[in-house]
Amino acid sequence: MPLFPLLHSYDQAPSGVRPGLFPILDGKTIPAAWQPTPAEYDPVAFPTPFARAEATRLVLTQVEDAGPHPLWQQFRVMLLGVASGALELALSDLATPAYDNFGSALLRVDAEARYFCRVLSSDGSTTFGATYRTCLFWGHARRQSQEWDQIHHAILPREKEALQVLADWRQALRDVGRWDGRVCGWQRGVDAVVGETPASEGLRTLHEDTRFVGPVLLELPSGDPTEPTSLELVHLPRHAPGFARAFQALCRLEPKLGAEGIELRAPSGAVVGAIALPPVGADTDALAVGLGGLKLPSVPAALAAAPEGGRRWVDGPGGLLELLEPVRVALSKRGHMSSPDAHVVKHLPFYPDAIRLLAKTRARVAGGETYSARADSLLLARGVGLPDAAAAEAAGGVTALVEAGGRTARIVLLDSLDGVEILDLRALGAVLWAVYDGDARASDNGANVLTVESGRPMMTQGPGPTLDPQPWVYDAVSQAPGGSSRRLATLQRFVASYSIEAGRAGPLDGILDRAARSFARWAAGVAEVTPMGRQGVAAGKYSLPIGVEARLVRDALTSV
Amino acid sequence: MSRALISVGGTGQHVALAVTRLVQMGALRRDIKLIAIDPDTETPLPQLLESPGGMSADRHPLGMGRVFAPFDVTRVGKKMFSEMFVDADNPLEQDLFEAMFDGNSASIPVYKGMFGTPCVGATVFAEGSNGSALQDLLKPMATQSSVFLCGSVVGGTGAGVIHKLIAEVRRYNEKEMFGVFMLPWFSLPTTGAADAITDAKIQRNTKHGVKYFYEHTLPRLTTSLLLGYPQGRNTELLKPLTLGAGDMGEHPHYLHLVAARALVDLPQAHTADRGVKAYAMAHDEDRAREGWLLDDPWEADVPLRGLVRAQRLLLNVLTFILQNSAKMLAFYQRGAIIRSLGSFPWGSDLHASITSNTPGNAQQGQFVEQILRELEQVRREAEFCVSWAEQVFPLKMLDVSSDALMDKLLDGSKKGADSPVHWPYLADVVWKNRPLMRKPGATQTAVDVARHHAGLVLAAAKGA
Repeated sequence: MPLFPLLHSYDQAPSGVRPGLFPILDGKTIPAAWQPTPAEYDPVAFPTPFARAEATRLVLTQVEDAGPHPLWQQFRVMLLGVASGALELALSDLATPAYDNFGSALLRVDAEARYFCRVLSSDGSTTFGATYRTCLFWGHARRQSQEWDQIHHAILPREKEALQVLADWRQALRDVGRWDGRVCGWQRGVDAVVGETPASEGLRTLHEDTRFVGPVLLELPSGDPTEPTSLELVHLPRHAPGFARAFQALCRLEPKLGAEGIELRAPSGAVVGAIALPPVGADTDALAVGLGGLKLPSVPAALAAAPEGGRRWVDGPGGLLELLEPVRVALSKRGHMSSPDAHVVKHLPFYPDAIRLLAKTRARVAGGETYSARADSLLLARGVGLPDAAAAEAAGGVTALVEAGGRTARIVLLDSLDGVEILDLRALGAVLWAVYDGDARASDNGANVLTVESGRPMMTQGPGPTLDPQPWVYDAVSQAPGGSSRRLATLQRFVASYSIEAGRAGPLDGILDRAARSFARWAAGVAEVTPMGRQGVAAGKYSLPIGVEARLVRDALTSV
Repeated sequence: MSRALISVGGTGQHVALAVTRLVQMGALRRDIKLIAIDPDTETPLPQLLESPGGMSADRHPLGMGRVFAPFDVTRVGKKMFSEMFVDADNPLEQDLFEAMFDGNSASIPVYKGMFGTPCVGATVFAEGSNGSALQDLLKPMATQSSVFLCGSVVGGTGAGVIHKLIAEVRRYNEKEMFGVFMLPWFSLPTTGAADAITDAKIQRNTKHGVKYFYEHTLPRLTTSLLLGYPQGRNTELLKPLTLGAGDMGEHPHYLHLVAARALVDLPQAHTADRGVKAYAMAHDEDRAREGWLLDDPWEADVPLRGLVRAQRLLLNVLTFILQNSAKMLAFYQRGAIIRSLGSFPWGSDLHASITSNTPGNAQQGQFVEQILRELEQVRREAEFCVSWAEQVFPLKMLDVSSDALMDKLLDGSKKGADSPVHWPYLADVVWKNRPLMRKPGATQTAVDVARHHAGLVLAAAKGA
């Protein structure tokens, strides 16, 4: 039967025995002979104004065969350019008057293309492309090859670091099941760029030396076979050494609302950091236009503006968490909860810098641990990651689980970690000793411990669940011990008075026990001070703002 | 039950013209409403579609008005593509436009067409689709039981418009929507002009258009037919076609008839198997069976072969009648006495139709003149169908075997107005005892009389 199909480039015999309709293959799959190779993709031939994005997506789905295809090369340059800092992202909204009737026409074709980023040279003068949800980046139709080469050369000195932040970022998405190059072409493209570059241990680079740019609206694998992808606002990584440490420093500056959003000013008055709170109308997605984005022009300036040991302006009235409430509300509307902190830490790329860095600070790795400001800054400054509770206890630290504002927090105090001397326990022990020995007393309202002689506060007041002595207390115990070293019996009674074996069972008593022992060891210059002797008498309480109390004790032999 | 046919671009208009003929001949039911979209409304092809065989406005077999340009023609004027969007007041808009479109695309004079650049066609349509004109055009889709979209996935207009058009139609109609998409069906000469649409450009667009169709368009349609010229094939019916550069007239081809067949076959195929989204058409190159579309049932009791034959017969007969126009006019312009001495070979029934519907002899001359004018229009309509069928099919393939009547009439035609066959056939067979008499209180017009007698010829041809 001499039947043939009325088609070009189709050599399969029609099914059936008479002329008429027949399904092309299975009726849904494009015949292989019609499938363009990557080399054949020419954007102008696609019937959509987003032709360059469509062509890039298709090239990326066949990236192994893309070779020197310009769209693939441009994707690669833009990915590494953004990650290295050689290229910038500028958030854009097609619905604004700036895009006039062209923006309106594009929105009629694709309403989901409204929010996008232009990819610019680092000085903002030249556009190299833009973002799109299916391909991540697409390249400019008119940039010359020498212009792309310039960006490529700007990337080279920082390429290794750029690959590292991308590897970490990819791993973060993988860990929550949002990475599959078979489903999302752009992820296949990123895989081809990042290759086998391993993620840093514990995603340390992503946590400590990365800032987020964007966000970018992207299709991500959803895991649902009926709807294989979902749209998410995702932050892209850029290598920024010391960024997390700089943010921690900024947390010691009192945040205030100003023209730039939440402004963090140095004592000189200069704005050293700002968290964007752009004013938007009801029909604008605030997160898509940068709500919560952190502007931090200079890491050194941020570090210099806020010395270590100062109070952290995070929890409580006027703290960052309070001012960031609009960001958290906006995130929750998108299905991204800002608590528990461990959830945020696990889903980092979906959160702007301010939220994800605070969560990391507060949650650490998984358990909601809260460290002293001193531990925060010392460990971060020396590039040592903040450990979880188990690791902290293994290092000789102590933790206490407390209820704080309806949430569970774990206070962690350490004397040292990985060769870094912190002295939380010893310093707290010094405060307890001062009360025990009559040199200090709880303030009338229990909000602090004051020296008897000068009324000098010995604790740093903070709104959150912390037991932070003042920096001068830390300084005092970091030197050689003074006269207390010859008062072993008193130290023994001191240790016994705070011993949990004596029946003390309050939520903080475990910490106080270890603090007393740590101080006593240092003061006596011995490995261990045995608790013995008469129990002390109650000497008031030091109350944390979260409603947890540390019961203080005085020496029974010397109290009047 | 009513159906909508939306044709896009020049290829879509070719398919629409095929459908027009099939409706006019009765092969397809007369329930199809056409909307034609093309940026070029001034060249021969859209003008033919607007007035096929002189049938325009209310008489159009598909109820079509004007070909609709996908953008505001008065606003766009003679602008280039970039000038539709870029202006000095909005630098970000210009920046984004230049990022998305290269210089060549930006300088396309869109009022002349899209020059085989689908991304430009899509953008132009996106701009034009905002206007109330398109929405007013598509609102009637709400009452259609099914919609057919036809066009090319190869050119700049069809490919660029179709995908967005589906979304626009879906705003009004959620029922079955079928696609009839043409792949390359002609080739073009190689020219040196940089902006020329070449075979290479066609092949490029085909691959991209088909890829885009499978990725994005196919899932949004009920099911579709893809159709194109199979390279290297050359049969009695399937002939390769080469068009000249800038050729904007109609070029009838068998593939347009096949595309029109989709209106019958796709709904049936979908009912039989709802899982298939893309069909092709198998062709039989056996000489004996290649004309299968002429013999397979369409939407009439008579196969297409018989319907074409009826139109050919009608054309033959009308040609003869009009060759005798002067004689007829002269007769009815005479005075009554002289007339009574003459004879009218066209028979007493046509004569009765004339005399019954005119108040007196004095008016009959003018009445007959009007009849002849209307018969000329009917002849144009028949020629519109016949000339197309004779270009699509080899004449021998169209012939009905053992067609003694046609043979007789063709033989008689050799004598032109003096054919000894035609008047007896009309007077003694076709029109006998079937005058169109005046009804009480209602006079039949000359148009009514002409249409009546022409209709009798057609009915006799279909029945014979």
